[in-house]
Amino acid sequence: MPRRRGDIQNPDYVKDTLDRRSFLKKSAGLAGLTGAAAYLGLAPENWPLSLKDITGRRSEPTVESFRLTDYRVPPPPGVKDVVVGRGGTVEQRLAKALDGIGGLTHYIKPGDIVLVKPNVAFDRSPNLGATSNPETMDRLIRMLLVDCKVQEVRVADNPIESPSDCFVKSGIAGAVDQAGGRIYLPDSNAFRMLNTPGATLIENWWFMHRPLTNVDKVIGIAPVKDHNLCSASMGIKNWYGLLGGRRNQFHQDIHEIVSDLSIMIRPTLTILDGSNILMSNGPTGGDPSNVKKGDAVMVATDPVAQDAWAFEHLLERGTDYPEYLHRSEEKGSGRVDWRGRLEELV
Amino acid sequence: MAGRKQDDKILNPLKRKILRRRFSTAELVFGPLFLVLLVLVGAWIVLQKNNYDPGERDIAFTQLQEDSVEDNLYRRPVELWIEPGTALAGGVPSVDLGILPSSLVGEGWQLDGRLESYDASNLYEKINGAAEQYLAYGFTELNYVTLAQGDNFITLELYDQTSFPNVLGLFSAQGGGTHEVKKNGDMFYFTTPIGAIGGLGNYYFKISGNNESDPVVEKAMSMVQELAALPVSGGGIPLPYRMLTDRLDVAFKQISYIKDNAFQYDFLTEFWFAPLGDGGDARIFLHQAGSADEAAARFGSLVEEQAYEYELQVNEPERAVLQHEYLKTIFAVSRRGDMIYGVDGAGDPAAAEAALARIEEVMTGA
Repeated sequence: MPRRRGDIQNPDYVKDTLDRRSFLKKSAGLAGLTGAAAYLGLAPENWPLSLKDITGRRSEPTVESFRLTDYRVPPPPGVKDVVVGRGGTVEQRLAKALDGIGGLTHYIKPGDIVLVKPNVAFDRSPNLGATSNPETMDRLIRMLLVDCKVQEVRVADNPIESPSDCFVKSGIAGAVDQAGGRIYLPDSNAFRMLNTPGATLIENWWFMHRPLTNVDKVIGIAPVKDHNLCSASMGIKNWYGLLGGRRNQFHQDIHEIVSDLSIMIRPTLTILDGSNILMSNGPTGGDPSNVKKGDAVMVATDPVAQDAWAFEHLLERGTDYPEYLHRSEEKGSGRVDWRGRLEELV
Repeated sequence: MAGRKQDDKILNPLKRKILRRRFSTAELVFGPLFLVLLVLVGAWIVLQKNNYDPGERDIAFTQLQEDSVEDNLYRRPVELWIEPGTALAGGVPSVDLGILPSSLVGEGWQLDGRLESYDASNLYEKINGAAEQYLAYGFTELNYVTLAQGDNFITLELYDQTSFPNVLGLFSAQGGGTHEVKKNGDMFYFTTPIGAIGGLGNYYFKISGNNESDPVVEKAMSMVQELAALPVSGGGIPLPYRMLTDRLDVAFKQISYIKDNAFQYDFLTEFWFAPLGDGGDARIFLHQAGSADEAAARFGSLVEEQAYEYELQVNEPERAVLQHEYLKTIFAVSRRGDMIYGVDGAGDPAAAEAALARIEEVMTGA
């Protein structure tokens, strides 16, 4: 039978009537909602609850910042802040220095996840002294895995050049792979906004955070080298490699940025490798005659004193320390005067 | 009748109206549990954001390799494709290396990666921290290649520094002058255990191998030979430098160049110096002006200024000899065409005249 206009399609449907009171209520509700929406969208930006956004800035996504954990471990009583291991092989020098500062097992516990931060800034071969020594890296990772029984050793750096090329050509990739560590290369998702209270240039700045997730301890391992802009690149300057963004702009005020780095991260230990010292033409080098063979590996809980001693004795630049060391001291990262706080183990 | 029809329907058009009279307990429990699970998953995703632990999720490269299977989707063609019109070297298709000679590739050495080029705006991407020094000496372009042969690799950095004086300045700033510098045509360089560093015209180059093995050293030396044939720009080799090295046989490390304020006069720029060779501090100097008129003007100004501290002994339009009032040393200067040349600090007029005569002799030859 053809359906006629006005027929109820479903027999269970009962048409409801709208009385005057309901109509007024619904009309008032609709008018209220419309008015509220109009206010939110059209009211001037400085009015309460206004959502008006002429510039588009108010609708930009907000970047949540985070703060780094303090990775320091109190040293055992009686040990010096800086220990220099001398003589023998790289492994022996490293072992002497670590023993002198209280033993690696004092700082690193079984099951820890440890991040090791080398300097892999350039795609240079290791004999040019521009990057961390692969042999020292190898020995350190083995000690962490075997002696300290850590859960995982992560190795990360963020070179501006192609990271994979830098890791491979510097020999660090091979050393880490052989020793049983794991390399974390930077990618666009690896960075988060880091908040560093007290920092002048990087109070809020992009930081390579991903490898630090769930990490218990952090160790920096850096070469000792000349630097074209700040005179010397050593333990503190090494942390520059974890910054993201257009960090090259900081070269305009390099002493301030390096001193900021000293408060940006509080590592468990800082290792300074004086085996291949780039005496001039740093930080890139290119001429092996600029590289001096040294016989010192330093381990420190005070990176400022460590850099000061290395500047004076490994780079042989005297006591006219780089400005960033004094500024680091002012920011409370350590003390330039290493005298009485350093031990040499031959 | 109507109720049976409704029971038979698969889709319920009445929306909220429930047609079934009873539901199993399992169904009742599953529904809320599933909703709770969805909420938990959503909350976990929101909380995790981008902050996951890479150690928990990333798959190790070695694991990927172990789990991978050989894929046969690509099969190497029977013959290598050769772009029509390109030359072949040793059966290998030629490689486009930009301004670098393509013959760098060959004899077992292959291009590792690609030719990288950087300009002044992005040099820091390659040599962050060192770029400022190159920029201070007129840097315009870096061409960078890596050649590999098995485990050996060599990198070549070729910096265009605009002009030869800039290259010389950079070479000196990086301590190049302290080495035993060799010459190959217009190229100057010194060797390192793993390569060579030097300059040619407007180019400054560094060749660095990853070890001191024979293949690396041999390849580095052959690269030096290849680079010696590179066409230069930026005005080529300045005539004063060429005269000092080629005609007067002055050793590389004895040559010095002052870009600005020669003799502390702001109107004197781009002067070349070398020892007189009398065992003292006396030195000869050479300068090429932009034109003969410019040289004449500079010559006149120089003599005029020097006359405040020196006593004029000879004052001719193209030659002047002056004696210092107190030191009694001789300052002699001559001009020929666009060249200004002379001697500073000679012990006596005869020595100064002899030096000028020698310069004029080689200038005639040049």
